[in-house]
Amino acid sequence: MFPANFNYVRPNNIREAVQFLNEHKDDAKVLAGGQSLIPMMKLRLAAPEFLVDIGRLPELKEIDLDDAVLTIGSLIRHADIETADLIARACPLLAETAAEIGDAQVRNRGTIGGSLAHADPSADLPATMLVLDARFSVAGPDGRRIIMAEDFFTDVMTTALRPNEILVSIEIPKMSRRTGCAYVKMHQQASGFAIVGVASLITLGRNGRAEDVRVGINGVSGVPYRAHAVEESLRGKPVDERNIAEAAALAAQGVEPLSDIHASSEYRREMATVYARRSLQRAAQRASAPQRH
Amino acid sequence: MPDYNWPEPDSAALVGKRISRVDGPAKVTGTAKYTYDVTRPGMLYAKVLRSPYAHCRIVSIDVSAAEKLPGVEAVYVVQGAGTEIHWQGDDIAAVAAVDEQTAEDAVQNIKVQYKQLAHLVQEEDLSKAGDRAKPAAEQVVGNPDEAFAAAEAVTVEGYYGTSVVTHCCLESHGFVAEWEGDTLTVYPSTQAVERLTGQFAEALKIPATNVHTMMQYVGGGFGSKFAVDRWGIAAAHLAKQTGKPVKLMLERAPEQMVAGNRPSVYAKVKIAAKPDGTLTAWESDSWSTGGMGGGGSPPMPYIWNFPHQRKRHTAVSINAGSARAWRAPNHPQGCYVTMCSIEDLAAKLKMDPLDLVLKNIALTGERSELYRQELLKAAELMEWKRRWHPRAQGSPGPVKQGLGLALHTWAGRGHAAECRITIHPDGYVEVSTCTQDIGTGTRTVIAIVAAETLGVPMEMVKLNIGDNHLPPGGSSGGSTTVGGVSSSTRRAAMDAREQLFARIASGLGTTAENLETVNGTVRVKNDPSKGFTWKQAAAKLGVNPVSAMGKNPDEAKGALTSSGVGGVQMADVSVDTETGVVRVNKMVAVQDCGLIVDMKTAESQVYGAMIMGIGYTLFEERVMDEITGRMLNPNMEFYKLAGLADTPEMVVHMWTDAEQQKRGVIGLGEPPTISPGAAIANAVANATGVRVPTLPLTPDKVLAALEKGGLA
Repeated sequence: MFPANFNYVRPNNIREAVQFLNEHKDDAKVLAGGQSLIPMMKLRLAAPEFLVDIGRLPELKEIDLDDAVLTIGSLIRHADIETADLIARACPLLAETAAEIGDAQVRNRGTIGGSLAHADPSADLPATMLVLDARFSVAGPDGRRIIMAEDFFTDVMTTALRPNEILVSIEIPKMSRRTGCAYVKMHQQASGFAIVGVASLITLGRNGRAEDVRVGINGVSGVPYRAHAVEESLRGKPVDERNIAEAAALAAQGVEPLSDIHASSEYRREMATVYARRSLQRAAQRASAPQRH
Repeated sequence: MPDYNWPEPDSAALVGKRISRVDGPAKVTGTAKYTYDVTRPGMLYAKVLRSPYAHCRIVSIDVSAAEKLPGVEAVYVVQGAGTEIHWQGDDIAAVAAVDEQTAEDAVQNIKVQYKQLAHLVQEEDLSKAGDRAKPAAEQVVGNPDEAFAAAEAVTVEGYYGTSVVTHCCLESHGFVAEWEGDTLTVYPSTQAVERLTGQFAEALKIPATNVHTMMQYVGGGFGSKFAVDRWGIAAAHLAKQTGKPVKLMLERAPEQMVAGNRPSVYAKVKIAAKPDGTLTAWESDSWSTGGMGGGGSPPMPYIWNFPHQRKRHTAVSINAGSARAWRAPNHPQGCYVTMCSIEDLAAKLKMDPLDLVLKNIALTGERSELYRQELLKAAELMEWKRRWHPRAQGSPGPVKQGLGLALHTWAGRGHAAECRITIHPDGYVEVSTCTQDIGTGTRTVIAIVAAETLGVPMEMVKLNIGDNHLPPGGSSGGSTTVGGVSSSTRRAAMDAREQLFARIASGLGTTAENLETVNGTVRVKNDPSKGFTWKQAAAKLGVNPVSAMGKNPDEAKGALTSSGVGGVQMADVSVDTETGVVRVNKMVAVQDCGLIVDMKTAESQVYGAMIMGIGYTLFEERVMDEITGRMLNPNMEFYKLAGLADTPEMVVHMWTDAEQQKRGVIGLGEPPTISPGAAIANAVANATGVRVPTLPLTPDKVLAALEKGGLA
């Protein structure tokens, strides 16, 4: 459990960091909270030549809320997301998701940007990002660009980030009123990783029917996905138990669920439905309740 | 000679009271030094190259690149070219280097050519075992054919099993070895400080007198730490080669692959009863593995002496790390198979299993009356009669609740142990015995017995343990330590007290037999006004302390320990029938173990055993990959132990009637780990109406059983 030798680099700003990454590309890895990278290095599954520690860059540690957008710096730790008043008010789904990550030690060190860039299929944040229509602001040698959450997760542990880019911040558009959200998960009993994690968002129209439905699912497939069939099934309907159950039954439609030592493909498919139902039920309840979630 | 006995419960100042463990503060503040904490001047660190394959032959091994690495001081080949390796993780070569990272780098630089051989790593499907399956002779009691064929017989057939679970000591196995000339000093992490002396001497071909073993604290053993192990010998060789102390502690992955596990068992069982529930016949076909050795043979039927029995057991040898004693070896498996089949029979007869076991209690033999009382007490604490419902007839909704029960037994007679007690003229008392406290509270128990016997505060008792230069105190296994060391301590303390009395009696105008020690004083019986404080009395010794040896057993001087304990456990669970997730809500344990020295540490043993039991019942499983032959979860990330969030309300009732007081001190560490598997699994069957056949009761298996039963 000791990593191979590596060189440690601590850039002074984003520009320097990007410049270094641009020079060394795949030989360098960005170190944020270190909750995935360091264990992989200790197991010698990863042996980067350079670790680029961005942990002290202040511009990655800001949280900002304006009329339309909540902006969260990529170095904000899960524990801070879980507890920050600003996030609890502006985006309770994000706080609820962060609270489900790993254990307290992991949440105290791990960062939102690190987790998203690592793109573990069993992570918790990706489904929530899909549901929130998050935008990822990325710095590269040619300046900034925006990647939409739905374009970000491209494959198992693979994202649209290039080796010479750094995830700077996550922008979450403000939600309309009468919106309820929920994140529920079945966790691997030992590690806490999601076997299935379902983020959902329901916005009720004036007629009390679901005007907008969004469902994001982690853990089931190698890539987090929006369960469009579920969304379409429920959209325009009253969010009662039967409609929710009918929609949730489509949670793994068109998906070939993962099969591993934690759960069989069949079990994941079944749990996708159970947890989609539970997530939608909670979101519907919150959408109807006076206190917005 | 004094009359060797235990104090009457109402006169005891310390024995049987709730006393916090004496080493608690040292452990929680971090001043307790475990083997892992040992550092010696100039110490090197060792790492081991381990076989990546389950079955292979070593064709060649080249350590030259590793040896050349800066910082590497020695390489020791444990198993060289030509050796056949029988399980993944077996030791091949060990490296000593200036730090752990260099040692690990060096391990990766050893070049080994392997020839892979065919392997077998799973045993549940017996049809794949071929000649790896070794059936033992059939055992028959009475006339099972006739009993099963009886017109009135109600029979039930079932399949039950428990997977291999690995040892998971918090402190991994390992040693620090250091030579001074031809004398070896070893700091082991062990349950057997004294026994290791001979093992090292034999393996290294040196006199036993040249081996010094020392250990103050061990982070768990549970049956897995009785041996020097290949890596211990490797550490000693590396220390010899380099002339420097060498520390070799296992990492977590090898810890789980090679440092011991509990054998599996799988069994097809058929049992019969009369329509009124009277048990008549047992038939079982069982198999198990403990690695290459084939594993144990669990006692079946467990504790229930069916009048008619037929049993066949097959040992399967597989290419995976070897079994070692695991807290109450063989009993949890036997208990699980037996109690689950009895519960299934009760369900078929539409009987409350509590009624069924009470009806048949005579089949448990000489303990039956005590079991009956313990069952009733447990039922009262669980409110069984009010809360039990027939299978699957609990509350509506997806979450189902249920109750289950199991019974267990264990021997636990105190082992051979010797102890020296010295009373110093300043009044301080020294107790010396080469035992070890493996977390069970041995230190505390010894201090209580010495202080009780001499009438001094526990703070005045100094313990010397964990050093083979002390009087032999035995290994800590089989729950035999507490009976052994409490008995030897009691005898030594009583003899030392006699010697003190003899030296001071005349000063009090009386004779030794008229003196007693009470609450820090030595005084004349029937005349409490005449006496000394303890310190005054000790001061009368002048310059020479008194010292006495105590020994267990010592038949001529009566018995302070005996054998045979038991208990009943009941579990209350909730099962989410949509996900298959099982939660234990409450457990009740009623346990007897003779005379209890420390009520608090005794209860702690039962609490810990139940939590460990929840682990192997709901979570723990060594997962082997059939294709590669490798263990897939040798880590704490994917091998789940029960933690705080999985711990239910636990009610522990220690059985302390006059009868138990008279039996002397008997061991307790293992027995309460036996019943949880069956009690929890039976509660799940009661909640859901279906039997999940094998442990652990993981959500997918629960859901599959529900689907098969048409209930999901």
